[in-house]
Amino acid sequence: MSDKKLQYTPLSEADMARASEDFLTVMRLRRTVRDFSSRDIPIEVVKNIVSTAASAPSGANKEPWHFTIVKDAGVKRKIRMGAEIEEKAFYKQKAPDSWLSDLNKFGTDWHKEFLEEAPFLIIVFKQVYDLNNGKKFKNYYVNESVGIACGLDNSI
Amino acid sequence: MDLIIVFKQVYDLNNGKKFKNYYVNESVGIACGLLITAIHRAGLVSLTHTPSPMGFLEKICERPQNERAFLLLPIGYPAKDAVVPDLKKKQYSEYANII
Repeated sequence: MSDKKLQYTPLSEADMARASEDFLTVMRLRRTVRDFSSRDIPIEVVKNIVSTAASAPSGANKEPWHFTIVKDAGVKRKIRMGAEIEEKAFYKQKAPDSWLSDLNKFGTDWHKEFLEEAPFLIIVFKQVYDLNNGKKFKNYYVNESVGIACGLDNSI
Repeated sequence: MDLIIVFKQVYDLNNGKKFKNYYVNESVGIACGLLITAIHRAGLVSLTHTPSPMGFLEKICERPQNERAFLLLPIGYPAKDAVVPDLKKKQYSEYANII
């Protein structure tokens, strides 16, 4: 593989301090939200967000991920039903008491209405190996790479 | 140039007692994604390095027994003539679909 010159614009130390502090402020406002509006969002925004994630570094640049964006109400309904079957089994049978007690303060249960209310679902798949014309090829640091991709943020 | 070493806590250790952590790899991976973004937004560069195996980092940094090195990142300014591999990244249709 050939090399190319790194595209890079340095910031002054003052700008660097400001940029890092601004980003920290913005990111501290990010919360995990369970109460969704059904209000639509532009598909271009969803595509940009997913493409930002796909810009992540990955082991040997294998990009071992796939992002499925779900818009269709019928598919979202099926996903909710599937998730609720699993979650019911988890909350009522599978989960050890210690896990349930760790979850208790969040007031969560097996109901997952947000899977139908949100205008889009994004499902991140990891590719445990690469598949090309029926042949398997090794991917590297799959969990780490996909985790990092999920953490990339495109906020200003 | 500085080094940041990210450790995952495979379980929580409190006064010698073990407590379960959940989705450790996912959580730490996401944190590393935010870290790389924050470095980029600060106008700096980084390298996501995973020397294999990484056990020696736990010894050098004298981390407790519940921690494993996850990622090692040098962060700083790029050298004046820094080059990067001319990567072919996947096209949108190869990494995403809409249903």
